[in-house]
Amino acid sequence: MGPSSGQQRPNPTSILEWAFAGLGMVLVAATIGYMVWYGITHPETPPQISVTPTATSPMPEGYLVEFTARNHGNSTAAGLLVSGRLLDGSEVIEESETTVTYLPQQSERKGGLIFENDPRDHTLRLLANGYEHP
Amino acid sequence: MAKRERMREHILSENTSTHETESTRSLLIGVGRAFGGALIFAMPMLMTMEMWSLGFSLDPWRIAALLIVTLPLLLGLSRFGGFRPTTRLRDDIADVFVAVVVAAFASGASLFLFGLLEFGMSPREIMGKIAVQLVPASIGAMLGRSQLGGRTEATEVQNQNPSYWSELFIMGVGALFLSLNVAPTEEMVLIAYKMSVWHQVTMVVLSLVLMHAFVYTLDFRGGTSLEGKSTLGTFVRFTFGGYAVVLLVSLGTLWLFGRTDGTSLAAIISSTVVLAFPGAIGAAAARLVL
Repeated sequence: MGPSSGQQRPNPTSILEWAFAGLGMVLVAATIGYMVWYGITHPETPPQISVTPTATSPMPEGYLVEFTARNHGNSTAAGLLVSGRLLDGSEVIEESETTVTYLPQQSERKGGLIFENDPRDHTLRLLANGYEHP
Repeated sequence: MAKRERMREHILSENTSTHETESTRSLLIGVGRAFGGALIFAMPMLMTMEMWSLGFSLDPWRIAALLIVTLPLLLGLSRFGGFRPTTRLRDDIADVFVAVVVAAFASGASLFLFGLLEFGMSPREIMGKIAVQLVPASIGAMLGRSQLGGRTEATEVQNQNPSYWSELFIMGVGALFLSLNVAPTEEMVLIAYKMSVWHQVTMVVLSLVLMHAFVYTLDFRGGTSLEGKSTLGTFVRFTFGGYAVVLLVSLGTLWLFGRTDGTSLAAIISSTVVLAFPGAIGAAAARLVL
């Protein structure tokens, strides 16, 4: 085709390109659909947090209690304060705490608390103490 | 005018012949460029902590709204200088969705590489994290394919005489892009707190002066010369008009990111003004870059 043929036809969309584009349409529609569905079926509720110990192991100094914090509610907890206590009857032997930066809705985050005393010799109680709305 | 038209036809026909023989190859090159553009434009946001948390803490309705707003925006971008010179709307639509796929892949892969997407995460969190990155990444993908080497003279010609509304539109995209970089950060709110009313008034004036200077006075490549039009008229029509668009974009961005919720009107105004400062620079630069 010579430069002077003067045919003003921009390159049309090829089939491969339409395949890509189709994938994009599906992706966008699915994301929007999912978000709208999520918005309808999961009205915002306060975070419902549970903290469960998963493992206890000795460290060079002290003992590590690993935990999983799970949020069953439908909003994010930011700056979640997690504390652990070693109890002997009603007497508190030791306390330790840490902060989980974000615990999103329906998600879990892992962390660890460090104690001087062996948690296996005492009653271990893990608690979520407070959070901030992001 | 006739000469320009002939030049355009010449370029378009040349383009057609190369594309017909190597359309797959050129598509892949285009996709590669789009990928590069998406990475360049989205990287600052991919590496911003607040953007990750917005992915899960942002109201799902707002994420849906963000995506819905993005589509016509990309369509406009495709019209005014996208992947290739297009005359048919459906080609533009194809370009938009190709950009979205590339952008989603670029953001998803980066976030996964950074260890921010894990298999145990809820789909809500994964989709949210990618979705908030889609706006900058797909703008980048769109521009990447047209800017990073792909700019034909045909698009130059196409861009030579933009209408008033398309100029405002392009300014809005530029403003949105730069606003998105800073709107989610804590610093934005902090700056608004630190500034007195007088600082803010100065900022508004400075934003207007900078916008005007960038486009009309400093003579950057792609800037517009006044060509005997009255300075005051241009200032009111383009610079003020553009700043109005910038303010709207800033306010919209703040709303999307939940920065306006439970906030007093005075605080909303001051953060809008602060966000409009990078927005104004983005808008002015957009007329030069996009």
